[in-house]
Amino acid sequence: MLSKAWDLVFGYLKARPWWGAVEPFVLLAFGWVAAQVTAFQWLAASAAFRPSVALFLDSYVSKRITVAALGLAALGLVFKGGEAAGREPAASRVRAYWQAHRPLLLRRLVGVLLVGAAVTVGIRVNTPNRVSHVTVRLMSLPGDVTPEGVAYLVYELNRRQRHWHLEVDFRPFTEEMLTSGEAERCRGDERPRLCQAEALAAGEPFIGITAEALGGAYFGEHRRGVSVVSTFDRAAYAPLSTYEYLAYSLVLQSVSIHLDVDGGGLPEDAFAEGRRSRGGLFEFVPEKTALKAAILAARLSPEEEGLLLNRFGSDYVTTCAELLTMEWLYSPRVRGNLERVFGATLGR
Amino acid sequence: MPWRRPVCLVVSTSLLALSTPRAVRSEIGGAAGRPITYTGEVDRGADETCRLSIGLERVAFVLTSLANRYRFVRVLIECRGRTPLVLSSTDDRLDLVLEERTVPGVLSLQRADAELWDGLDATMRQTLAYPPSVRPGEPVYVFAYFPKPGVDDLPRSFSYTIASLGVTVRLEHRVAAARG
Repeated sequence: MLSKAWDLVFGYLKARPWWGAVEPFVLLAFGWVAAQVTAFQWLAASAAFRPSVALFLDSYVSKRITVAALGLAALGLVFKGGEAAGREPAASRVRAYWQAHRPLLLRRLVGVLLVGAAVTVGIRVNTPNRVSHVTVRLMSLPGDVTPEGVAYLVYELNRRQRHWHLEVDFRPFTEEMLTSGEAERCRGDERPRLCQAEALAAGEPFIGITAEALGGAYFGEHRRGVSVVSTFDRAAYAPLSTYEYLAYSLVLQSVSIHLDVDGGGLPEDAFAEGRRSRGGLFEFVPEKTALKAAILAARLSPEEEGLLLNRFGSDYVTTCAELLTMEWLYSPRVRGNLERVFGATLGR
Repeated sequence: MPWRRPVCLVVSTSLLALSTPRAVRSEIGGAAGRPITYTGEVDRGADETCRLSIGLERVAFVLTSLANRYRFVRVLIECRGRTPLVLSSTDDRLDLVLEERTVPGVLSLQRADAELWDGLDATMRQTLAYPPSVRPGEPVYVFAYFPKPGVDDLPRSFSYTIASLGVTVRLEHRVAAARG
C-alpha cells in the first residue's frame, strides 16, 4: 500500500518538467532523514543514555549531519549548470580546455573552497570538547576514612571510563606548603579551604578533599578549575558513609570542572540558591540533610544531558549517567573490597 | 733522635682524634667516610612505637647548606601500631647538640625565613613542609634547618621534642652498630 503511494507520488513528480533540477536535492533530503534516524538509533542503543527526539535534534550529532547535508547541497548548486557543451577534453588539451572554461572552473573552485571551509567550521563548532584529567588531593581526611580507601574509590572511577582520569595526590596539606603571602591571603579569605586548594592547584584542574569546615558552604565549593569537598558535616549525610558521599562528590565536582575548564562554563543558574529542588546535578541543595536524597537518586536532568552531550559527546554523558547512579559502588565486588580490605561499610 | 718518631706519632694521632667529633671517634671500620645514622625511638605503649633516624655524611653535611644560611637534616619517622603520630611545627622542637652548645632547629621556614621559603617552587615547598602527622606503616621524612654559623661539623646528637606526646627523644649515633 505504502509502496504504491510512493510510486504514485514519484510518478507524478517525474512527469514534471522541473523534476530533473530538484531530484538531487530530494534524494539528499531523504539521505539526511535516513542519517538522522540511524544516528538517533545508535545513540539510543548506547547503554545508559537515551536521548529524547528533541534533545537529539538539538545535539551536535544531528547538527553535524545537517551541516554535511547542507554542504553536499551547496556543492550540488556549485556544479549545477554552466557546463559548456562539447566533447570531453583530452589530456593533451588541458590547456585549451582551461582557456575555454576558465571562468566556470574558477567559479567552481572558489565554490568548493567556500563550501569546504563552511562545512569544516560547522563540524568544528559542533564537535565535543576533550576533557582534562583532574588531581584529587587528600588534604585531610576524617578518622574513619583512609587514604588508601579513597584512592581505591578513585581508581574504580577511573576503571569505568576512558574520558578523564582522576589522579590521587596523597600528601596531607599543611598551611606551610604555601608561600607566606598565600597563607596570609587564605587566612583572610571568606572561603579559606578553596583559597588553599587554588594555591595548591597552580592552575591545573584540582579537587581537594578536606575534613575541615568550609567557609561559605557545607559540602563543596567550586571556582573555575578548582573544587574543594568537605567531610566536616558528616552527620548531614549519615547513615550514608563518607565513601558514598565522596564518590558522588567526585563525579559532581569533576563534571563542574570539565564544564568550566573545557566546556565553556557551567550553566548560569548552576548551584543558585533556591528553596525548591528536583534533584538535578547542578542544583543547590536547600536543606543540608537533603543531600542524602540527592546522592541516592543522583541523575542527569534532560537539560543537563543536553548540555553535557553537546559539550563533551555521547560517551561522556553515558559514562556520567552510569557513574552517578552509583550502581558500580554497590556492586558486590566494590562493596566487598571496601569492606574486607579497607574496613569501610557502605550505608545503602 | 730515636725518641722523636714515637712522640710525633702519639701527638699526631691525638690531634687527629681531637679534631674528629665524638660521634665518629669510635670508628674502627675501613670506610671512614660512610654516612652515620642517629637514631632514637618513641615508645607509645601497647606495641605503638615510632623510630626516628637521621643519616648524615660528614663531607656533604659540612659543604652543603640551604642558601648559604642553613644546614639541614632529614629525619625519617617510621611508626608502628594503629595511631598516627601528630606533629606540629609550632610546638615540636628539634635541637642539634654540639660539643659545647645546642642549636635549635627551624621546622617552619615559612615562619622563620619567609623570603627564602617564598623563593622555592611549589613542588619543593610541598616536599620540605613539616608534615601534620605520620601514619603507622607510612614512613615520612621531616626536614629541619639549623642556622649555619657555628655548625661546622657533625653533631654529637639530636634532641627531638614531640609536643603531642609530651616527650623528648635523643637521637644518637650508636657506636656499636657502626663497628666492624
